[in-house]
Amino acid sequence: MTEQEIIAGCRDRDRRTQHLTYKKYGAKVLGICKRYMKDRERAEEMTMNTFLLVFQKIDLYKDEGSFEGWILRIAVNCCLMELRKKTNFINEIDPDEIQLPTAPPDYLFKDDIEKMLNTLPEGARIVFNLYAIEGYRHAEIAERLGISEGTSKSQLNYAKEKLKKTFFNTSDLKNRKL
Amino acid sequence: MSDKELYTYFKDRRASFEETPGDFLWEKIEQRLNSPDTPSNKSSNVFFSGLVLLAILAIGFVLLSQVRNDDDAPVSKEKKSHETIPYKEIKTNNTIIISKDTLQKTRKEKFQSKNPASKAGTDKPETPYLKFQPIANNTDSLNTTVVKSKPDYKTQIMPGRIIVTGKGKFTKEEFEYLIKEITEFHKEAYGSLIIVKAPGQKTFRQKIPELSQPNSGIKTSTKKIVGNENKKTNSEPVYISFLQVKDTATDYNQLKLTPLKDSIHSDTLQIQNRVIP
Repeated sequence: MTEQEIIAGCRDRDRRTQHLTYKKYGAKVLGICKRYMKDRERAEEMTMNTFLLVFQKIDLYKDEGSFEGWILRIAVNCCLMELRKKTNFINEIDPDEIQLPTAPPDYLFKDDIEKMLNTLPEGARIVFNLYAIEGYRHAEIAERLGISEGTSKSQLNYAKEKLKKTFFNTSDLKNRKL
Repeated sequence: MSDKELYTYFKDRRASFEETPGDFLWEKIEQRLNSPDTPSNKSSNVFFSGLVLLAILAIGFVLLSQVRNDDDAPVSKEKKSHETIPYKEIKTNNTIIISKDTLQKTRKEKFQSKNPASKAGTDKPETPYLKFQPIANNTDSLNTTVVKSKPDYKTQIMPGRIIVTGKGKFTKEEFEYLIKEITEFHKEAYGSLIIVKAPGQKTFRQKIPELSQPNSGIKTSTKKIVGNENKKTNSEPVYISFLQVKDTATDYNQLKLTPLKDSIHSDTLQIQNRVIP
């Protein structure tokens, strides 16, 4: 089934096409939600909300850009709307936590970026996801999260330093690879 | 490690987050899609309910208009019946108007015939004539007859004299016409003095000559009329004199009606027969 056929089927409220859409794009949507939401149950809830919005607002898709990109943007927005209510971006950062190297857990984190990101506070994790992985600029992040650009930059700086010191310290990195 | 290397590290490994969601999640999505609370269902429901409401309103409007048309039907018929006979109504109205006009015209004609000065062609003001129409007669406590006319003048009739007092300003012509009309009106009050007064005008006095008949004998007789005797009031009887005219003519100018006392206060009148040598 081509993308255009999927779009047409969704517009016709065809349940079979909607199910196909869910199967095709569900994995990526869940992955995004897992990166932003700390626990799995909330990630699945955001996935459900994302597809509901996609099927309800399908008429708003105007064939500008890919259909996949449109769905993934909806997923990010759903997560941000949820996180914006509960996350305090200003008071999360503890400067001392950056200075002191944290001891890694006993299991290996090799290439387990999910667990690496889960070590970050929620605000820092969100900003790092948006900036480093999604590619948003600080102005866009500030607008989406309702914070200042300065707060966005400080959160990102914290996330970088923490990740580097925790997981990419040369000496520690050698030990982790084992 | 640089920032760029860090970002690249995580970008390259973001696929590790991806995981195919289970069927239970799709079932939840399907339930939400099928429920009436979903916005898509809500919007369609709102749309259909709006259509139904519009249909009901349209039906109600049509029914109301039909009911109103039924109510208006007899009125329109009546109107039509009136409309079929407009000329009759107009005719009747016209005849009434014409009749009124003719009345007015006849009055005007009479006025013009009596008063040649006010004939057509002259620019004189109209109608002192219409002023001189008495409306009611009343007798006052002094036993004089007061003729009340239109507020332009007031007439007092007393024994031996008739006093007409004009109210308001009178022009010369109006005063002259008033005099003429009064003298004409009271021309048979033989022996009476007619006095016509008006503010700004010289008082007019004229005595109407007494009636003269040759060789007529005059006998007078007095009769005592006991009319309404009222013992309580102790009213005195009123004597009324009668003139009895016989064959012989008499110079009436020689007869003078003079009251024994002041005529206003006296209850008795006697006619004295005088013979002038």
